[in-house]
Amino acid sequence: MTTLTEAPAPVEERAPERKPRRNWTPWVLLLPGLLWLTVFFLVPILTSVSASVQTGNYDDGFKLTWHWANYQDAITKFGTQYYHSLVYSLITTVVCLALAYPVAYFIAFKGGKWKTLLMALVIVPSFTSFLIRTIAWKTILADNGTVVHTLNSLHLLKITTALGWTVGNHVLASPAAVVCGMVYNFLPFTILPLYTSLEKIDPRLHEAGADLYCSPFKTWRRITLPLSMPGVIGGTLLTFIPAVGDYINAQLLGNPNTTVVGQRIEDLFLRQTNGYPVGSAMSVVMMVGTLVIVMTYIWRAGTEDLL
Amino acid sequence: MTGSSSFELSRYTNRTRLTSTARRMSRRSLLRGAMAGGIAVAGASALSACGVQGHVVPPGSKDNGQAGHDYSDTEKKVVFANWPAYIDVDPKNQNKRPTLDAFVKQTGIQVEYLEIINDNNDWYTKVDPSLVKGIDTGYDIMVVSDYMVAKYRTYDYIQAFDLEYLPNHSKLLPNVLHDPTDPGRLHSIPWAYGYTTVAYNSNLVKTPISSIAEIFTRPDLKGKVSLFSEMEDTVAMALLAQGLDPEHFTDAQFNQALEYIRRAKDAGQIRSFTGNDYLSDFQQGNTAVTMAYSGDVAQLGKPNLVTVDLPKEGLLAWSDNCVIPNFARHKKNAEKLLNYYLQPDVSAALTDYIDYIPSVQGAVAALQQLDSTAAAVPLIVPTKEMQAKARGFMALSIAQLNDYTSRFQQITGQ
Repeated sequence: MTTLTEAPAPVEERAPERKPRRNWTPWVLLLPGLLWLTVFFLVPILTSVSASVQTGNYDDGFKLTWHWANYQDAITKFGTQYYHSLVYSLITTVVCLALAYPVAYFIAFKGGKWKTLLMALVIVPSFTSFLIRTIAWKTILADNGTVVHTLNSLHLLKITTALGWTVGNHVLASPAAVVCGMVYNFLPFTILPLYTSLEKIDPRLHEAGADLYCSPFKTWRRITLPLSMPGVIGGTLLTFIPAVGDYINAQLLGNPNTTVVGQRIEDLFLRQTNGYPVGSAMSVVMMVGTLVIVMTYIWRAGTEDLL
Repeated sequence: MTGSSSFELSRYTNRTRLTSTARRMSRRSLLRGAMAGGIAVAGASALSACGVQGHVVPPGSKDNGQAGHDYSDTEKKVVFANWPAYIDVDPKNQNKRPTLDAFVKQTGIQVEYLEIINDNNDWYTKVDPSLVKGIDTGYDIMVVSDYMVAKYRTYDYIQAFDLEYLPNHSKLLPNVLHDPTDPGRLHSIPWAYGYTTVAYNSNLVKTPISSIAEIFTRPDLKGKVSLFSEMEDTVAMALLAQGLDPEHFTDAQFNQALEYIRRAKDAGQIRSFTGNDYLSDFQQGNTAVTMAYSGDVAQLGKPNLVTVDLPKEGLLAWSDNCVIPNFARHKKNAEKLLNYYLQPDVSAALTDYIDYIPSVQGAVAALQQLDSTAAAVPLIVPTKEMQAKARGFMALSIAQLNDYTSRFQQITGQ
C-alpha cells in the first residue's frame, strides 16, 4: 500500500516534460483491425445469434420470434453429431500430438543443417488444397487398394471391425478413415508450434542433465517436456479447434453413421428452405461449446500468458 | 505458413475461423470488458434488425410468372444452367458439344452453358434469394426435377413459354403433355426422362440382383450399398421394396418407408447417401451396389457395371425439366434454344449421348437411324412392361415436401 501511495510523485515530476497532446496513432493503427473484426466477426456473430431464435422459411421470410426451442432442437435432434465431432476431434488431437512430438523433437535436436528442409517437407503438402488431399485418401484407402489388401491379409481389419473402428472388410466409409484423414490434415498444425518451442530449448540443458546422472527419459520429462509445454498447448489447440469444426473428412471418408455437426449445418443451410434457425442454433452451440472447452483447457494448463 | 494454411482450411470449415477468432476475441475484448458493453447494446438492436424479408407476392400469377425486360434482341446470348454430363460431347474434343455448337452456328446466339446444378434442393436455395426479391437470377434456363417444378410454380417463380418462339412444342409426346405437375407443359419442357433403378458391380456381387428389397436387406451387401440423398428417389425405392405405390401413399406408409431406410442404415447396410457424384465410388469399386439413374451407368460403358432394367417391384420414373425463371434477361433466346432441342433429330442426337428417354415425337425413329444399338437399350427406349411398372412420385404440397425432406434428411445424416 505504501508503494502505491508514494508512486505518483515521480510521475508528476516527469509530467511537464511530456506534451499533453493525445496520441491517436495507436487508434489509427488499430482501426483496420477493429473494422475487420466488426464486419467479419461481430456482424456475422450477431446475425447467427439472431437467426438462431428466428422462425420461418426462405419463401415466407424469417422473423425474430425469440424461438428458443431451436436450441432444444439443435441439441436433442443432433446429439449424435455433437458426440461424433467431439470424439473424432479429441482422438485426432491426441494422435496428432503423439505423432508430432517425436517428429518435432527429431527435427529440432537432430535435424542439424537439414532442419529447414525437413520443416519444409512437413509444410509443403499443405500447399495443395485441403479438399484434394482429403480426396487423395479415398484412393489410398480404396477397397481394392494395397492398404486394404494388406490389412485384410494380416486379418487386422477383423480386429478393428470388432472394435467398431472400421466396417466390414474395408476402411473407407468408417470412423477410422475419418480420423485418419483428420490426423493427416491437421498434423502440420501440431508439428509447427511444437517445433518452434522445442527449437528454442538450449541443447546444453540436455548435456547438463546427463552430467547430473539423469537418464535421457528423465531429462526429457523433467526438462524438455516442461519447456515445450507452450508448444504442446499451442499445437493441440491449433489441431483441436479446426478439427472439431471440420466436416470435409467425415463427408468424404465417413459413412451415414459417422456424421458430424458441420455436415448437418451445411445441409440445413444449403438444402433446406427452413433450416437457417436450427442451423444457426447449432453453430452457436458449437461455438460456445468449443469456447468453453478451450478456455477450460487453457485455464487448467495454466498457460494463459503463453497464448 | 501456418497463417496461409489455416486460412485455406477456413475456406472449407467456415466455423473453424469463427471459433478460433472467438477464442482470441474473448481474451482481448470480452475478458477486458472493452467491447462487452458495446456488444450488449449493439446486439439487442442489431438482433431485431436481422430478420429476412420473405416472398413479396408481386403482380403476375402462377400461370405466367413474371417477365422482366427481354434483352434477347440486343444481347445475342442465353445462359443455360444444367446438371453435369447432361449434354452430348465430342469424343475427340471434350470442349465441343455438337448439338449446342450447331445451335450457335444456326442462330448466332451464344450459349453460356454451365454445369452447375448438382442437387435440386441445393440449387433451389441458391436461386431462391433472387427469386424472393423479384430480381434476375442470372440464368435463362435451368433444369430441375419434376417435383421441383411444382414447388417453383407454387411460389410463382417460373415463366410461361411464349409458343410463338416454340412451334415445336406441339411435337411433345401426349403422355409428356399430360403431366400432373404442369398440365399442358406451358412452364416446363423435359430435358430428359429417366428411371431410378438399381445397378451393381458384377465383379463384387456374385449373385445377380433382381429386386430393390435385396439392396436393403441382403446380408452379403452389408456396407456396400449407396443410396441417393434426394428424398424422392430413396423413399420411392423403399416404398416399392415394401410393395407400396410411390404414386399414392399415406403418411403412415411414408413413415414405414423411413423406418425401412433407417433400419438398413443402422444395420450398417448403407455405405453412403450420395448426390450426383455416386458414380465415382461405384466405378472405383468402393460401392458394389448403388441406386442409379437409368442413363448414367450405360454411359460409362463398362460390362461389369450392370443396371437392373426392371427390378421386380418396379421403377421410379421422373423427368428433369427446362424452366425459365422470373425476370430472365434472354427469354426469347431461351425459347429458341428449347425449340431447337425439340426437333426429333437433335433430340435423338442428345439421347444417343446422354442415354435418357426422349420426349419428342419422331425422336425414337430418328435414334434408330442414328444408332440402332442405343435404340435397342430398354432404358433408353423402354419396353411396354417397364412403362407399365414405372411409377411417378406423388405430388406433394410444399408443407408436405418440406416436412418429408427434413425428416428424410434426419435419417440420412446428409
